[in-house]
Amino acid sequence: MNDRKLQDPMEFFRNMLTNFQESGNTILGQTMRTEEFTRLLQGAWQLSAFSEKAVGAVMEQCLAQMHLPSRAEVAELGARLQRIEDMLNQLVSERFGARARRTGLPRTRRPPPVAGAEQPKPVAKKARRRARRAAR
Amino acid sequence: MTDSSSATKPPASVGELVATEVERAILRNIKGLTYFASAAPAVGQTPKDRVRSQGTYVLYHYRPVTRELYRVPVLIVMAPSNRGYVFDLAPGQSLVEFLLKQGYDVYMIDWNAPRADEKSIRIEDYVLRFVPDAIDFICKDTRVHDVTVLGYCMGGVLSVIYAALQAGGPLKNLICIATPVDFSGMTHFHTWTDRRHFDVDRLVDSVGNIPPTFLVEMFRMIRPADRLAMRIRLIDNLWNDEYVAAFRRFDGWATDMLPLPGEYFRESIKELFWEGRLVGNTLRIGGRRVDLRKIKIPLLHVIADRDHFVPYEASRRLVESVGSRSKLELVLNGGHVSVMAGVGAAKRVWPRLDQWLGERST
Repeated sequence: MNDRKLQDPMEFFRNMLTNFQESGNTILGQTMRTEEFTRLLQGAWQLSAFSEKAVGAVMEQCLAQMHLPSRAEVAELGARLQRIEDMLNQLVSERFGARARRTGLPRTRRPPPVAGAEQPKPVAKKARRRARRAAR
Repeated sequence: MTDSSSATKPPASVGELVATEVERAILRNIKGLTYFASAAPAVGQTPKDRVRSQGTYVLYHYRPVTRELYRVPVLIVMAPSNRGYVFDLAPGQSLVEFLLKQGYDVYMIDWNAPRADEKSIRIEDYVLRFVPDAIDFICKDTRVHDVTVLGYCMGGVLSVIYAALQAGGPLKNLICIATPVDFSGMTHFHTWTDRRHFDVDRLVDSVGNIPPTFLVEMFRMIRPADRLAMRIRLIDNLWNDEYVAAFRRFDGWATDMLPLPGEYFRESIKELFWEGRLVGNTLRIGGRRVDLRKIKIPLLHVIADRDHFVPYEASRRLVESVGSRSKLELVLNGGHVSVMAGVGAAKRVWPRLDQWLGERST
């Protein structure tokens, strides 16, 4: 096996990649858990959030100048449509869904017997019929 | 899709080795073009019905495939930051499909991206509104008065909180997968959200809902070298259709994160990460204290031994904190996702899950 690894440069490369991944994760992981990195990260997050908000506000003004709806307005419109769709789905599901999905399957399944364990009594036909009737 | 059978055989001699590498190199070029030209493999294909939907909250019912069902239905609660199709990646790699084939009646709470006006959704909304709504619906739909809840990651946290608040309620069993309860054990997240540096109020007030890019980057930073190594490995395996399809499914899911409602994020950071209220039994939801000792129903906690996102230190205290008599912690081989999804999980985890759940679902 070791001989094959030595002969196979691709296998050597794959092992090297795994080692690089592990040591990279360890070293970078340690760095990322330092207080300095955390402070730096917070700065980046705040900057990103602030710039996203600022760009959004500028875009909104530009779109308003061009008499176009902003992203927020389109999203709001989409949300309203979604709410209508949700209500329709709910109505359809309540009206037809349950009946269509109710298959009348008996809920009498038992786990398969474990080897060596006492066999459970088979479910009586009557019980199955009762469950099927109840499901209807 | 085709695979070169000779490309998959282990090489025996230097000559064969060279031939294999040449063949793989050719296949890499051909299939590399296909990779960029083709759409990502389909996911979430198991037939299902959307039975409830309200903004970010969606409840699906999967169509049974057996002629006889276990009495107790199963409700899967997905983490609010991720899509539920990780449990239904592909035929043969789908937990949902597996459960259906074993005879369970399966429902899943999945999440839509929260709208801008849903930024005020809090933990309370999840555990006192969405989860109870799903359970009420299931009880009415199945005419069964108890349900098994299976929560994954933060979905597990929500399930645990719900179970603690609804002790004596309609829960029959609780299954948690990679669920953190002691958030100080999530060392990376805990450091990055340190209250001395992290102004969560300012962040939430400026963005409303937390954008998914923020979350994706946060997860990537935990294993910073993985991304590059995985790309190189993908190029190396471009000849292998199965590898490429699995990579695309997992990678697609990992980057397909959802925005988080701002208030939920703020509350999670302050109450769970900073104050450690969940494991301390001091969390208050809807004016009621969440006391994990009140959970008396059978509990199974599946933990991955190589979980870098929710390390063992963060999840180990769940089992010891609950008041259940029947409780089991399974530490299994895998990572945060691979412990429950994919080929490995199908072999290692699902049969044990079925064994535990089957005898408690009659």
